[in-house]
Amino acid sequence: MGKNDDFSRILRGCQAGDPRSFENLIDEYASRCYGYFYRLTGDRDASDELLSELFVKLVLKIKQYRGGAFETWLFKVASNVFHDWLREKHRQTKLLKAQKSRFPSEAAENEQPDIYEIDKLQAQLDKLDIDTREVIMLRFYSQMSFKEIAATRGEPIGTSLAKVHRGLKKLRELMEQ
Amino acid sequence: MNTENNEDLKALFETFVGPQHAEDAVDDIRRGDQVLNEYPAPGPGPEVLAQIKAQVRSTLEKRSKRTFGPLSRKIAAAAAVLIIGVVVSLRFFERKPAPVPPATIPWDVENLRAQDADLAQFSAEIEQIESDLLALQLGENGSNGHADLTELEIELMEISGDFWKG
Repeated sequence: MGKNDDFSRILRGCQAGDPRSFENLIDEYASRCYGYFYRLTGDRDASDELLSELFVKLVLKIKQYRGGAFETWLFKVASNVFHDWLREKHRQTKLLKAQKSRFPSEAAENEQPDIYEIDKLQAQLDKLDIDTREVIMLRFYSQMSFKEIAATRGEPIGTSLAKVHRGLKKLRELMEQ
Repeated sequence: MNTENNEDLKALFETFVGPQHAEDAVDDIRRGDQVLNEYPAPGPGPEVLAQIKAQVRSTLEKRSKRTFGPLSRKIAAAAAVLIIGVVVSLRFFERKPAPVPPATIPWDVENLRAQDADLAQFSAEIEQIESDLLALQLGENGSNGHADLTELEIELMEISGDFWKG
């Protein structure tokens, strides 16, 4: 039995609600999805949270998967999970700013430094805009083609191509500095 | 991680930036991918994975309970509808007893006519007797009223007996 057959069996098991099949799916994709979230957030706690959110969402949505490249579908869900998190973060940032303006001394006390050491790549990635960073990471971790990336993001293929090209070129320049 | 997905990047870039710049663009992409490969992202910790698996298991259990509840309610509703349907259809299609035609009574027309003739005759006789009786009571015909009355009564009794004999 080939790897594809095994994976098809896992997916069928997941769609039937089999916990063991979901464990196999987690073992198969957790690392890649975690990398995707980590490179987008630069935060291990947030990445843990997003990974958990992603797999719970998969449990609820797996019946909607109708075949085709599973990675494309999986990373589309992952991208939605990230965008939801980003919106929530923006909302919280706004609230925090409002709080800071009202209680400046108290807010300063609550600020804590990031306990995780940020690697060099992460530091340079943070200098790219979030949209460029996302399309680069989507391509890198999902291994989607540009056509699939463009379809997932709902933009022309030329736009995805240009963003990835410019972003990777800039990232390499930043890393060489 | 690699990004080898059998995509012809050169051909793709050629359609957007022309053949001259396509090669440079593909080279930029490859070198960028190389940087990403040189700095792999950290993976999830084993405790995080265990926690996620437990959460997934719990979500699956909750989901199956939620699915079973409405399902059992649907089955009960369907069964109720089915039972009502069967009862209604049984009543609707229940065979009603065929209307019984009125019992045919054999009328004998000739016999009836004969009886009618007898009846007319008896009625005429009774009228005659009544008229005679009244005359006797009034003493109009100058006869012995009492004896005549007795005779009439006997005659009446005979007529009555004949009538009931048919």
